[in-house]
Amino acid sequence: MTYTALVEIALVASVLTDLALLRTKLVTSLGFWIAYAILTGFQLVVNGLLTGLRVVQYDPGVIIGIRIAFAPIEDLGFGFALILLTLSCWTAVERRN
Amino acid sequence: MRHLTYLALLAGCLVGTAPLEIVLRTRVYSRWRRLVLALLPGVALGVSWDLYALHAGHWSFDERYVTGITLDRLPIEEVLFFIVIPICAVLTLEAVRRCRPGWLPGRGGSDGAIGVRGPDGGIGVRGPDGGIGAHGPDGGIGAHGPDGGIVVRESNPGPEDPIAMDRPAVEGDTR
Repeated sequence: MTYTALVEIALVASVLTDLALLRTKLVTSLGFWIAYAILTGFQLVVNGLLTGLRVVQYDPGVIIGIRIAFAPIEDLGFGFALILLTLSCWTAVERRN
Repeated sequence: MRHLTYLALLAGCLVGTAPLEIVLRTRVYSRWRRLVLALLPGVALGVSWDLYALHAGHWSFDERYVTGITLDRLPIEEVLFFIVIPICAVLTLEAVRRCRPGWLPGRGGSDGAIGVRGPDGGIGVRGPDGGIGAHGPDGGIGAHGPDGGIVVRESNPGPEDPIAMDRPAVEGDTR
């Protein structure tokens, strides 16, 4: 399976986790998107350094080839899924206490 | 030194977001048990994905920029990545919450659990009855009137019930 396909699955899975599984509904709140926008700004810098310095290198065959700040666009989807999953879990754990 | 490149980037992320905990009092590190619980799924899924991608050849790491410590060929930096970045994310979310509580679900106020616990409100409501009843003799002190808040809080336990029971009797008389 390509990186692109895995990212698509992760995006859907993370949104479903937020909306249906944990019901934290972060994607419906303004605060989440503000936090995500801030994080994405920094992600572009850190990811740009990692890929620009070639600390990490990608097989061209598993990505669609669009790059933002040196990094494949798939990394943005990867980042979104990781952030949403984490924040959804954080919110769910918090709610329980 | 080049071997520390990736590690230094991660350290930079932690250093850069640390002020949020100190200045905005996000209370993320101080609630470390919840933090660990919240990070676990991301670490497990992220590391699994990373290992798969590494073995499938999706990406590779330049050995010159990593410490060389690995977990099944996965640079330790990648494992740390799935701890560091989520911590930054939680800190950012809590920072947004501190600045704009209403922009997030939960503790901002709509959460029922908080409303129930918020007995600040409960004390406020209950207080006046109890305060008047129990501290009636304090009338003299009542000269300090505006400080009533303190009196109310002290009188909170107990004395409300007798008053509450008196009332129906009074209302009964009106019949």
